[in-house]
Amino acid sequence: MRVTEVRAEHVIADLPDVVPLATLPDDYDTLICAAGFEDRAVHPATLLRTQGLHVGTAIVLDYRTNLADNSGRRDELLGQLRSVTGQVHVVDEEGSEAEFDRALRAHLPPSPKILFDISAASGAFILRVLRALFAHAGAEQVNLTIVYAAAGEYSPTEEEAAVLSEASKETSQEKPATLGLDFDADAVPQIIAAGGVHLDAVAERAVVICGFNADRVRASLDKLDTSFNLDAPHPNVMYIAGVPPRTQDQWRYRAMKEINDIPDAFQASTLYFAETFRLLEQAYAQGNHRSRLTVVPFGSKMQSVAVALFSEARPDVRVQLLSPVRYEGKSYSRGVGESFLLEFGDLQLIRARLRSIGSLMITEKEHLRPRTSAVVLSPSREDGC
Amino acid sequence: MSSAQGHPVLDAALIATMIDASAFDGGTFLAGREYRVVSFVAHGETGFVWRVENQYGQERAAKFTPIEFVADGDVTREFQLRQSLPSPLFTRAEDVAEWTHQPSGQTFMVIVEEWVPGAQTLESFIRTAADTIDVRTIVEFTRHFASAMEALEAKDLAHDDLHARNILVRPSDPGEAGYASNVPTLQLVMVDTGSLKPLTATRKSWSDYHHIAHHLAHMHNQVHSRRNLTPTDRAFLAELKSFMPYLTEEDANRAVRTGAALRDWVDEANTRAEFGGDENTRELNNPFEFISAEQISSDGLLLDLFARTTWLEQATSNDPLLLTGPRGCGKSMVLRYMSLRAHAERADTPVPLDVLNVAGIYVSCTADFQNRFAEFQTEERVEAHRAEIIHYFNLVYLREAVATLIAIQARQDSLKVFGLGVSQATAVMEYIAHFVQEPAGATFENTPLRSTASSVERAIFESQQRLHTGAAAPYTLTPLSFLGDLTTLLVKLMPFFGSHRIAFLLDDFSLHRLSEHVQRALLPIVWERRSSHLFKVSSEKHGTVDDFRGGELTIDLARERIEVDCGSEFLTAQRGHNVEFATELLRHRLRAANWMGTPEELIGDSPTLTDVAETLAAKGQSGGAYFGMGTIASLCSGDISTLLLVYRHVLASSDKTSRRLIPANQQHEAIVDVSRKMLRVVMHHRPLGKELHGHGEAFGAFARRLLQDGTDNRGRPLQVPRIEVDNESAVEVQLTDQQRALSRELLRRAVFIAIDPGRSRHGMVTTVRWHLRRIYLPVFQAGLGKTEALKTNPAGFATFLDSPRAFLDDYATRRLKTTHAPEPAEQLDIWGQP
Repeated sequence: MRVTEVRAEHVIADLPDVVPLATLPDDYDTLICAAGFEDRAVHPATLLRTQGLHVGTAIVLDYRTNLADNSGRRDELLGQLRSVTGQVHVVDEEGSEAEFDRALRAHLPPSPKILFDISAASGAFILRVLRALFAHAGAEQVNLTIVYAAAGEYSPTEEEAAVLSEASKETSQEKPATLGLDFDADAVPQIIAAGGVHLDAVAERAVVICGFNADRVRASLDKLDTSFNLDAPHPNVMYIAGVPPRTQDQWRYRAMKEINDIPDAFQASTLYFAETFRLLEQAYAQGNHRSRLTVVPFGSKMQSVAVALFSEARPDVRVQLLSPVRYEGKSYSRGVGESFLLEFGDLQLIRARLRSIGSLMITEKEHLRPRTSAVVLSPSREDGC
Repeated sequence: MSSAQGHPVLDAALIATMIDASAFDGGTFLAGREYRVVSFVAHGETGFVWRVENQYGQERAAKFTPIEFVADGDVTREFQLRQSLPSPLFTRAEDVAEWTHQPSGQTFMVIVEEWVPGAQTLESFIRTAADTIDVRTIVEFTRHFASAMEALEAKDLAHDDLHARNILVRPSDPGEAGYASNVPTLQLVMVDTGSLKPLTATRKSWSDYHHIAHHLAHMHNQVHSRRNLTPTDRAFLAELKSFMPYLTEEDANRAVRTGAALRDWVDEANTRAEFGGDENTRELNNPFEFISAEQISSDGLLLDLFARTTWLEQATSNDPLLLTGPRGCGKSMVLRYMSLRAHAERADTPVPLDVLNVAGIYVSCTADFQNRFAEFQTEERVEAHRAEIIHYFNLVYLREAVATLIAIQARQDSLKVFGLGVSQATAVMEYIAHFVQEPAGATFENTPLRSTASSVERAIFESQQRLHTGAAAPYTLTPLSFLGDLTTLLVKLMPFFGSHRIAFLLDDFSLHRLSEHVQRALLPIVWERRSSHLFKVSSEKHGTVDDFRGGELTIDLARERIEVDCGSEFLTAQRGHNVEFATELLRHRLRAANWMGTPEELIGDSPTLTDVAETLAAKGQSGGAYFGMGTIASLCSGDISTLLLVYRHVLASSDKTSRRLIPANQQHEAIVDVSRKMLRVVMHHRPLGKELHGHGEAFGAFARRLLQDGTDNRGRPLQVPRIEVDNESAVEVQLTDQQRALSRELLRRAVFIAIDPGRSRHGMVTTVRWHLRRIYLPVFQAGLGKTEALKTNPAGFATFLDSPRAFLDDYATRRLKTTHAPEPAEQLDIWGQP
């Protein structure tokens, strides 16, 4: 007889992976996409139209910040959507987390087959949508596919980044520590996942999935525990820096480490979310149930998907975001690069698998199993299950 | 009969026959005496169970086993073995006999035993009662199992078939150890002893302990699947996980194979989960970990590390208290030290009631409130959820109050010192049951307070959900007066709380944790005048709102509440007291980490602050100026975490065996390094972090310039770490909203420490006095003492807030032209004097 733990590494290995997308495979009941301003914001909708595919309903996630930039492509996106769907609903960022969940779920048909385009979605939108869909999957079947279009070119250039990074090393308050896409950090954090029941005093731990605005990272850490910045590198903080998949973009990993001043950061792909998920699990295990882990996700969109899966698996983890004070839309990416698909399929199954992490499995050799149906054994990996 | 894998099993035809009442002629059978069959219950692979009645109409269970399946055909063996096993853990057997089914000629061994009314199998319990299974259920279930194993071992027996259908779970009966008249408790009962045999004669692949592992694993998974686990719950599940190999281990030397070992394990695991185990929490790996109190999970360790501040007596007084000060100033440490639960949990140590004075019940806003209330940033949202916010707040304090009583009840002196016995605990439980409607988790033991704690934790989780979704509560929520009514009851039940008033300790009730609107909703509870309790609240400077507008406050804040500003207390205390405190703080830490060296040996004495200033002012000075215990104590502006950080850096090259003095220049460099880091992190505060940093940097540079280039009228280097503004009320009036917001942040984040308003030089108005946080001075090579203050008026102060560099440069230039502090330029206008 063996009693073993369902380990995160096995569950993660069983999750579907990101694959390059040539054509969208099917019609969908619902398309969820964000009204962003980048060129790629309309790409999946364009794909649907050109492939002659149809969606029953489109839910457009509308930003309430950076209105000047975001409104630029909104009309184009809505135009594309009207040619592939009969109904378009808009859900915005306003209101509480529960109100967002309700607003999104109200537009879902029974047992929906959903295509979620994250190409123009902020990390907050990705996390909130996936949280709502996981909750929905607790009540009924949800079939989910994520589509993601990379940008053709990312900003800033390597040379621009080097200049900005060097300038940020000055301690003067006039020099922001950012590579120029967004600036500074708001005062009030947004809690995407509340982080379970923490009624007793425990130490804080944090995982930072870095972005290019180091001011935002540090302000976020300051909200958790001032000593995280004071004692840097703090033993209770793990930094993850993203490695882009394209060779020509890999300088961005170095630039991210430099602007955030984190030479010992862990690295994870910005595309293949499982790598980030594994590191999050590693950080969780280090806490040994004697701390409160907060994830501060400023990384890529697929890394936000990893955080959403991780929070579904670990309900005691808190996810905290801090918005920038100002964006610089003209410095954002341009064009449309390769597209990718992540087919989760039945989200109820994914949810059950994620929630099983940490549960116990009982296995026994066939000839030693007790002969009563009152003994319930687990399907083991050795059995091919 | 047929055979599966070499074992005899019932065949289908016999099953079909024996599950039907027609198998019994006249509906009865003889087994020593006559029994009437009532209903078929179940069959396994080797027998059938019928519910029957004896001649008195009493219900019994009759188990029919084909005689071929009975070992050696000895029908009395099982009956005799089980007679020695105790009830209620095992059913009592009444009769045993052979009985033959006449039509088929099949003979059975029949054992008639006690019927277990209201029971369900463990299999069914785990499946259907999943919502009620919690960690406590597992702990108590394991204890019951341990007792059953001990009973078997005492007779050198093994059950040898302890699967989940041979274990029943039923409500406990009056007279049983776990019975409680007001809480539904459970009793485990082992049935089907057909495989009972001597320990040495077991033949099956799974021992009784393998089955226990199976049951515990399934219960683990039920608890694991819940979304409302506390860190303590998770810690226990981790303990359980790591225990599993000992139950399934084949090597008898390593395996757990006795009931006593099983009980020891579960009790120890439960204690480790509740109070923290040996690892990381009980002991200090090095003296300087856990810089802030929030990082210390173990209350025991916290008490060991506690050093008495000069303001401890004020904190423990019988008055409502507002304790303010910068982050890391030891507010949390003091409030946690005042927690009665923390002391009571040290069961072998008397609670120092003379020092504590009040009975503290500690809750920190950093632990849960800030998460739960994060969404309530507007007045409208708070109003919409006001009742639930109050309810949640009440429940969290209620949970801690009950936990405190549980800790007291576990002590030998529970009744003698605290007056807490079973009747008081039961009365508390019954009172709380009127307000908390959630059922307790499934329990096997009669522990009223633990049942209450379980209900309260469930109610907290339900309230959390409603706070998130906005759903209405299905029952009446606890009112504003709930905590007051509870403490009134406690005083009545336990006079101890009359002589040691209950003090609800509310840590970090600050605006960065709870919005002003949430604070206002809670103020009527926090500042309620009650003879049975009071509140002691800590906050950042200007971190609480006092402008409650609902008219419900029953306390006169100005008159009845005392305020202690830790920063101000430290800055105005005698230097000797501060050195004493700083030394005690380090000494406790060194001792807790088993270091041999003492503060005197490792850090040593200091020069005077004037000597420090003269060294720093000397042209071309080299070597250290900042060193020694006195100097380090002078770096503190009440921010005790700064002291710890300085110690950590200064002693970075020392270890447990070190006893040698750290050289002065090494101490100096470490202190300057900490100073630089401390100033730098100010930039990361939000809001206004960069502005705060700018003001700190400007004032530090100003202090350095005056030290380097100026002297006072006695020729001493100038030390000007303070700004003083005449006419405090005019400051309030003259500042713009933006300037006021900045000034509040400068104090809230302790870039400057506000010292109690002094009397104006002109004796008519009070003076605003701001002292630059001392730890920022070393990075500028500025002195730590004060020879004079920068004096200005409200307009000058406003200029300082808007343009600190320009203002300070101008002041420094003027100051350096004279040997006296210049009067503020605008002073002439205000006072009409030339």
